[in-house]
Amino acid sequence: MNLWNRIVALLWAKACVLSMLLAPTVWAANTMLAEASDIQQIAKAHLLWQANEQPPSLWEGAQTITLPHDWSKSRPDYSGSVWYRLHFSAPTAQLPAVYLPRVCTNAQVWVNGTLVGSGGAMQEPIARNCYAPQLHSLPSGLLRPEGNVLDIRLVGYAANEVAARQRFAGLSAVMVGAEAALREQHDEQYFWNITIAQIIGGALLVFGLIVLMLAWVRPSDQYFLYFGLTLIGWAVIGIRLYWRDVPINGPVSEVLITSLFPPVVGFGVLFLLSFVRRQLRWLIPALVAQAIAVPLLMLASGTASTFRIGSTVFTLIAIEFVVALIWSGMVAWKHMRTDFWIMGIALLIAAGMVVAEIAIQNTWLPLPRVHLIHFGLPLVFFAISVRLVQQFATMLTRSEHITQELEERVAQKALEIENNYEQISYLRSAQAAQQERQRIAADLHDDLGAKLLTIAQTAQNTYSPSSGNNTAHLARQALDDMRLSVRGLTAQPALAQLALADWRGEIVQRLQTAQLQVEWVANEPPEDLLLGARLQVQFTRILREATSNLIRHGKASKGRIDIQITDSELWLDIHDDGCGLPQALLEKQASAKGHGLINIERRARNLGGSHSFGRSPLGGALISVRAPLRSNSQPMPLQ
Amino acid sequence: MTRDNAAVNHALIVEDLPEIRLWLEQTARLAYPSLQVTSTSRVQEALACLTEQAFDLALVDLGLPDGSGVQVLSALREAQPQAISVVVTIHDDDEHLFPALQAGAFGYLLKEQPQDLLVAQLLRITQGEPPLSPAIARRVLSYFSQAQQRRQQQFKALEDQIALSERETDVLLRVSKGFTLIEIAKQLGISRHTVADHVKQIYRKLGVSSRAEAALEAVRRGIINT
Repeated sequence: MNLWNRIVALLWAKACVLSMLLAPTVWAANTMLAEASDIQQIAKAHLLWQANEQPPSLWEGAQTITLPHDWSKSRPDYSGSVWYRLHFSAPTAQLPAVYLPRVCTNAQVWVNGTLVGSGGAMQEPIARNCYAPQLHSLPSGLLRPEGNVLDIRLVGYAANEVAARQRFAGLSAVMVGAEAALREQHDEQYFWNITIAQIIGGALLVFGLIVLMLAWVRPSDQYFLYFGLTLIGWAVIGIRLYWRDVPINGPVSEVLITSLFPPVVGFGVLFLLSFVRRQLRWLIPALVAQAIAVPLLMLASGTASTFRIGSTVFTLIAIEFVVALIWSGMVAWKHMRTDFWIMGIALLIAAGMVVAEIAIQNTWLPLPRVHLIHFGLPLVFFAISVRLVQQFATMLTRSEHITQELEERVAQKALEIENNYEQISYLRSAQAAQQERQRIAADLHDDLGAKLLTIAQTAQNTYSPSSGNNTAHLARQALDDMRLSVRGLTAQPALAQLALADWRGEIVQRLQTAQLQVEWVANEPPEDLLLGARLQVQFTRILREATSNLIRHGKASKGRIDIQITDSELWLDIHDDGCGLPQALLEKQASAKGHGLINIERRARNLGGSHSFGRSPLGGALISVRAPLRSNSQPMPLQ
Repeated sequence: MTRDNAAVNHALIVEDLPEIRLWLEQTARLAYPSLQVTSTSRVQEALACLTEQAFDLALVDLGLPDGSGVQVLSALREAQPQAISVVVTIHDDDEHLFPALQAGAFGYLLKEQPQDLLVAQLLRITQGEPPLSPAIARRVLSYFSQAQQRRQQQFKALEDQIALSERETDVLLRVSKGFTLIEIAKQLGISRHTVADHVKQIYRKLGVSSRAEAALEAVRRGIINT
């Protein structure tokens, strides 16, 4: 990128310098051609400060002068028309013509008393021909071999009535000769002074509009706006070079032209500062004030001060511009080396031309044949435009690149997240399913399986008289187990107090039906406490089995069931006043097998709880179970 | 509607499994030795029977091949309100039983219980002491409180007939907390029979109330003109 910038900068710098050099070279070549051929360059003339509309007959008191003649040197205050008289011998060429490289502001050409050509209106609003060369054919019928008289009526303004030296009234050397040769020179001069100005004006306008469009899409980069306005402003200022039949009076045009410079150069200054990201709070109000003050001052001071104010304004804004240039160049040097090369070189040229223009306006330098500043500045603008467009393109490419990168990364991350999520949810559901399968398997195996096995065995031992009854009993128990297992699968967690009520209703009813005295002791469980379906089911079984045990084996007359539910634990104590549990069981020397208690033991373990068998204060057995309560609906983990 | 000590002469049994049906016939005869039994296995057959004969007792299974036993219960209540209908099921949870009770069932028997227990329970039902578990009591309570709210704005007079009395509500609350009828009788200082009467009234009002609900719904929808 750096290298590329430097190449662009160098190329443009060279292009600028070359075009500067080229113009005078071409001009010089043509001059040499003119001298060599049959072209008479007439430098001697008589001048009569008279405003006649016809060539004057009396030339007494006429001044003898050498062309090019500049009014500002002899009578700077004169405003109006004058007569020049030149003498020439008839050219040998078939089609002769007269060529006036510079007439300011306008001229009529008379040959031997007959009008042969005019640059336009000679009265206000006068045609403004200061930048346009004039070429008029000479009808051969009017010409004499010797002693032809060429009268030129020139109309112009006093030097203090125009704002720039380029529009001082005056007449260049006059050339007479073959039209073809003169037309070549005329066209050359016309091209450099007028056509180029038009091309540049059009190009600036187009560029300016493009840059304004950039400003529109990127309002945060203000320098696009200022640069666009500078370009368009400069194009408008350039109109004065080729718009000749202006419908307003000369002095007013001068005020208008001068008033255009401060805002346009102001935009240029703002562009320079905003391009290097610098801001001065007072700058915009100051520039606006300046832009308003200039026309007001000129209108107030009258036409006689136009040149003085004009050249002061030009000098002032040129200084402003150069200061802005230097400052922005320094900032660019410090912070934006890449930009400095193109900016620095292009702006140096601009600075040189501004200095030259100041020198020309103050007559420290002779008036060049082409309007230097109108050549140089647009080239500088063009170079800057190229740089801006390039910068814009670079930014665009970079942001596109970043966006693309970002999109790719987002897509990649989204994919990763999706994959992770899928994997996690798969694992989670697999884990849940596995837990559930294990639970069902354990329930079926432990409860149904054991009972069905017993049914199978008792059914085989048909010789036992009690087998039929026992089988029916086991089958009912199996059914009950199945129903509870299914409920454990489908039921929702229930409020602890409701579960407690269900247990009470069932167990007390059963014990009462068995003609036992019942004491039910329970605390009020925490209000919002939920018991998981599995815990409910397992505890229902524990209660049923303990109750069955009490009724069947205990020989008891009284039972006491004590349930305490807290946030973290469930306690169950079942007392009776029966014969109590065998001593061996109490001393943990025998397993609970055969007493129907093995199931209680297993279920307590499945719930992650503990159990104990002991002697009740009532005199009989005490069966205790403690189970931890987990968070609401989570299934109990299997041991 | 005097069910106490009512003579039970003719029973309808609706059950699709042949073995269970035989077993139920046997059980019913154990309770009432001179009982005449009509057995069917489908809803449509049962509905046909209802138009031909009068029954004192009906044992109805809920899951039948061509529909739900609830249909039979409703039809029986309409056609023969004096008959005592009992649900015979393998499901003991309130979600299965409650719709049947609303349709007019006066109690329920669990199929897998031993025959002697079933006979005792059947006798208790027909003598006017239907079983009531805490879960069903809770269901009945919430049903009445919601139904009451729905009705109160519209039909105040009807409300008095079919709303639960204070005592009945009290009994229901106690049952829902797990107290047995014996305990409730002690707590309230009344006889066990009085508590059983309250329970009967609750069953009756549940049926009346749900019928009234249906009628009101029909009025609201413009099916019946008042």
